[in-house]
Amino acid sequence: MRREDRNRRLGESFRQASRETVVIVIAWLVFLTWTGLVCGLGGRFDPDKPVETVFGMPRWVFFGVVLPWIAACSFTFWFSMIFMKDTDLDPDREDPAEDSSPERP
Amino acid sequence: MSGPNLIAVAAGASSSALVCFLGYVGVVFVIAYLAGRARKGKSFVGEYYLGGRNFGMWAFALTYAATLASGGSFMGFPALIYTHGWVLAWWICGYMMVPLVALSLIAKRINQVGRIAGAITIPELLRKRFDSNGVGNAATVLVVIFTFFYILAQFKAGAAIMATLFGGIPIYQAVVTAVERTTEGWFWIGAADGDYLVCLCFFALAVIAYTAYGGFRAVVWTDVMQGLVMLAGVLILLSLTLSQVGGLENATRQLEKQTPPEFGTAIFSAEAGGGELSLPKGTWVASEDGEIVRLKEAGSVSTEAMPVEVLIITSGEEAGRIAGEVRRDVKARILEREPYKYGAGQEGVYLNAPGPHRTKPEGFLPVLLALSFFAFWNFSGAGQPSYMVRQMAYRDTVVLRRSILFVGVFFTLIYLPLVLIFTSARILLPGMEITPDRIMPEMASLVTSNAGVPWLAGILVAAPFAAVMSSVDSFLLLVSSGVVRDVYQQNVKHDVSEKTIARLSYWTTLCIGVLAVLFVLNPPEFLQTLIVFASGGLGACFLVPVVLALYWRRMTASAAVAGMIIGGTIMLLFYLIGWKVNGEFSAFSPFNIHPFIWASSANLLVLVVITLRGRKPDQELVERYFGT
Repeated sequence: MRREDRNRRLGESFRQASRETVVIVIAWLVFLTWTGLVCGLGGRFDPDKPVETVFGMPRWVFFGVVLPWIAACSFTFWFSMIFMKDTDLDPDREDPAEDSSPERP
Repeated sequence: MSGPNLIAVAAGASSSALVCFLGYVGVVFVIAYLAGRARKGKSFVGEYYLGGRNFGMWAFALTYAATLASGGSFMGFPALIYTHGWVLAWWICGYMMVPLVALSLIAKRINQVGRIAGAITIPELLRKRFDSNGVGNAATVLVVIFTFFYILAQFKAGAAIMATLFGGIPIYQAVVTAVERTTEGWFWIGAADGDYLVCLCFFALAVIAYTAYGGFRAVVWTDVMQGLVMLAGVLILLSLTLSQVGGLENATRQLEKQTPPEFGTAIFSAEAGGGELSLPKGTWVASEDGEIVRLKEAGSVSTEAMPVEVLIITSGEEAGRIAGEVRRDVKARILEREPYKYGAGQEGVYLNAPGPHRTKPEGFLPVLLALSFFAFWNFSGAGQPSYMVRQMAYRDTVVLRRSILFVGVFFTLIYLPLVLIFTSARILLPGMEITPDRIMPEMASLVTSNAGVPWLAGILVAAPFAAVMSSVDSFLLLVSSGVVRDVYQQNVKHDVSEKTIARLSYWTTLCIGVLAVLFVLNPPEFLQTLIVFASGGLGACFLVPVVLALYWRRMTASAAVAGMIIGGTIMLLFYLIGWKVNGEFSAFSPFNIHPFIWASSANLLVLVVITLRGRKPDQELVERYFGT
């Protein structure tokens, strides 16, 4: 394989990995904000207020932890099964046709 | 539901549970043997330290998940839930993003760069990425130091789990007594309990032997089994706990009525007068004022008896359930008492944030600390060299994508149930504040005994044991690879035969394990703090330099070295300040922000400034790792 081809393929793969990283960081910020707001505001201790429950757990735990956790799992499914692209991990291999993980359309 | 004392619970772990547990350890050895055979005829270094870079989804996902779920997840974390309540759901919820952040952030690039560089360890990867021995050596030193702390904590956790399981077995008790008699008064070792010493030696022998013999492949294969054991253990424990506590709603409502206990000292007198009585640790006694106390250490009734540390129950709801366990022949006189600094006397405090705390007036988890833990779990996880190494070992990106999803489901089924189980544990097992680190095995023994299936305790206790084993074996190998590959092969002797490397690797793994055991013969306190310190230290050193080394073409070697050293130093400094300020080994968290965040931010700042002020890296090196 020519050096230019090798570098071009590696460059493409690098840019795709960078795009995926940006999406992960944005998603992380969204879930941080969700859990922080709901737990921070809803979970504060007030001795005069009775604790409401949902499915046996405090309401703020359900909406601030369990629900975003389920949403995060759904996002993980979308990211790993749909958004993330397969890449040749060994650009220095002599015969790239042997690659077991070809680029998906 | 009454709360049995420690001895009664330990006795519940029947010999059938012990057989079940020993069977599990036996399977681990068989796997290690098979892994050692599978390595025969292949390149030793690549196989022993990286398993040939050819792991599929089950092996990669489960070794990653099992290593991440350490002894802290099954010992320290349950102890924190038990002590501080539902707020731990918020504390741990960062794990919802761990599969994405810790796996996807660098997994593709690190595997790719690792293959291009032909690197087997993280220091070696950094050394080759920057073509600099200085980077490799600095990384090796930091890996070895912080990982060693982590191993210490895991050894203690492993010994504590075994001690609980074996507690009620007569032969074991005889051995413990003999060891205690022998080691009494010995320097360093004499301070430890006999049961801890016996279990530590057994645990260390098992884990060091299979790791040293089987190498990375054995560690990964055993991780697969251990991951499945953890999952099964947690789900079984969840169903038994919820059925015995009368459902989650009932548990939460009972917990709402609880107020935090107090700690204090007391002396004891016999009701009938006269005579000497010994009071084992964990005994429940009523005070002269009608309160119920539990001994935090062994005490006695005699004219010369010294005051003993006790736990004082403050809520009527708990006192009612404990009443049947209280000794009628002894009365306690409370001499001193210390209420919680946050939450004392307040019902409902276990159901809300920030959660009760014995020493901190702001409670267990103020908002900023919660937010920094969300960052901590994700980014310190991504920054652990032991997990990074695993990301260099998967076969292709199809494996990676499936593994991310698998790990996401795995963590959901582990961490959320743990919160449900151990908030309910306050109802089933009151007074465990005297030894909170033992709550998981005690719960396993209790709920299986109550359900009439005591043998099942063996499998449930195997879950945290598996977590500890799967972490300690990985970290042992990490330190061993640092010494053999990055110190000896890089700096002492380049051209070494495979046979010599093999011999050196076996002996290094063995020696590091033995050295760790010698350190923890006198058990360190604050298990979870030690784990958070060590993992945070590794993350603070490596996360920023490794991520930027993979994604920033411009980054320089001197910036990487400076960043790693600054990150590690600040982490250490903040814990030393915490030790000085709080009087115990704990984090100093200015503005309630975890030291990991401060250390990583400083690391990033220093790294960026030095890179931008330095010379641009060699273009050929950049093209080699980034293409065009």
